[in-house]
Amino acid sequence: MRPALAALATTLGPTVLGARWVAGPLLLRCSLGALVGIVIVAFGTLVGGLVAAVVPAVLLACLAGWVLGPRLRFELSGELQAGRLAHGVTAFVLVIGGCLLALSLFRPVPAWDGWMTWSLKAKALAVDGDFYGPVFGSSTYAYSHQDYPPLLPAWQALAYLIGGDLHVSWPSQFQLAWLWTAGGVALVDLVARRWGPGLLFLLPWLCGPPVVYWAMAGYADVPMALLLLAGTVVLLSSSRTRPAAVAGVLLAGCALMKNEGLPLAVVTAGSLLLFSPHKAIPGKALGLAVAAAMPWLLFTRVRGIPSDLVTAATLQPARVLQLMPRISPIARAWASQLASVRAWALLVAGAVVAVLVGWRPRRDLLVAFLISVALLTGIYLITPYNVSQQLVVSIDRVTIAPLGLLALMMAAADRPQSAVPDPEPPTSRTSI
Amino acid sequence: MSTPLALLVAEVEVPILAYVVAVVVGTGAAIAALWPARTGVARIILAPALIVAWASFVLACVMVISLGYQTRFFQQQDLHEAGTAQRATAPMPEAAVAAARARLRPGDTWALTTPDGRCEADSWRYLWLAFRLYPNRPDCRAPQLEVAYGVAPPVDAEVLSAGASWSVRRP
Repeated sequence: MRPALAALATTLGPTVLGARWVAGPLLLRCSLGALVGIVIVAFGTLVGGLVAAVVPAVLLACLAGWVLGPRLRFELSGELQAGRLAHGVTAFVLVIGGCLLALSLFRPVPAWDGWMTWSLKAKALAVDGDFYGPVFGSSTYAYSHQDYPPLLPAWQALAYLIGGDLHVSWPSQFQLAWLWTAGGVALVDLVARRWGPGLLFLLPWLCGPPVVYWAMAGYADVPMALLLLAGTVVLLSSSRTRPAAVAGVLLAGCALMKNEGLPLAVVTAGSLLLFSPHKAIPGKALGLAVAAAMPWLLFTRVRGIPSDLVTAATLQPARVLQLMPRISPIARAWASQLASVRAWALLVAGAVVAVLVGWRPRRDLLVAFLISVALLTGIYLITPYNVSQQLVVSIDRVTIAPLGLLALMMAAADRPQSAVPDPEPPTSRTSI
Repeated sequence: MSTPLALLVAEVEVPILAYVVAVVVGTGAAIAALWPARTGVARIILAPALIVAWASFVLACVMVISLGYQTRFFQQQDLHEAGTAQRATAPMPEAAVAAARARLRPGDTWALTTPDGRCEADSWRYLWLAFRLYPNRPDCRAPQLEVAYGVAPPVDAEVLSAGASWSVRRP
């Protein structure tokens, strides 16, 4: 009974809270609101872990979220374009999400990083009530990547706390299925509202094997990517009259999900800032994301918890130059992902054909996509681990966020001139 | 491990018939959902998007079915807390985990020995067991409890609990 309560409280609770941050139709308020609420609640837990007061910090975060929501509310403009199409796709996403939620009731944490990184830290935070225990400091648990930002474990820790049993893990699977469903519905609605039928290009990403599989594997890659994409879409839908708080909260969630989350948020919001006529909006969102990431970054520096990838030693120019031959296997790994039906072949093929028939991708998202690919390639280049082994175990999920930007770039692309008229003002577009 | 059709390299094979069902269901869902975009000038412009959307519907159905088979495998193996990371067998019997938990006192440490070696030498079982036995920590130099899987305990060891392929003992 208590695990069920934990699953519902850690999903429905943030959804109700986050719905106060979003104006518009109920389904959008609940879906986008779920993402916002999850970030707020998990951030409260994270800060609570830093100050050894999880429960008071969560309650304070909920109170602050409840009070601030209406003041910082994200308001949509315009009617849903391609409404019937959007409703059909939304219904399909809800059905798939319903299946994942049903499966989650019977699923353990299925795979490696779930045990050794994310859910282990959730257990530790639930038991210790802070980040000062052995999992975050002892060399015994160095394998758990102790410097990784712990927003996902913070959220999962609440499920362990409310559930009252460290050995019941299905609520964390329920949480992830909820996140995929909420993120999917929010993205479809927001993209349909802004760019109409372009939403179809989101589907090979959202419903693709990598996203669906890793969403249910207990890893943070899909939550990070969903928050990045949702934050980006909200950012693109913001204007001077609508505050950037919701976009900032979502990008802050992305920044605190994984180590690459902050660079990806900076790259994406930075690209938007570069091309946007209203630079204050992405600037504020970017500032919020960076500020939110600071407490954990400072904590790891003060506690001397080292990064196992990016350090002064791994970044020495002489070493990096010596590692240039790694470019070849890294490029082959990327190419294999882009060409595989199990990964991104459908999305890439669709994007290429669409460009050939006249779709014009957004420049800002194209820049963000290319820089994110370069960024992750650079991390593989400097890794102190055996790069071949690391590529084998991670390339299929590391590509999720950049390819999400590619999907969004196509979803937001300008359609050829002969297509149905676009009700959005042309000034809001930044296309090649 | 998997057929060329398999999109998920998982613990169990998914029957071809399940893929056929996924294609039929996904196509039906795609027709229903994408129907509004079928006519007019937009049809030609949207053709690439419609084709990838149809294929995406099918892939989503395939993935749900694959995850369903994976979930059934976990249930059959009595794995309710941690899975098997795409391997076709459980790391060790649940009875061994239960016996270790029953013997561990708060603050006790443990170590694992398997045919692959001690502790990290068998990282699959070691990391899996570290998750299962938390908050008890591993300590491979001076543990209070030894878990052995696939190897016989020393003859002079005090065996606290044992099964066909495992034992739990105090060093």
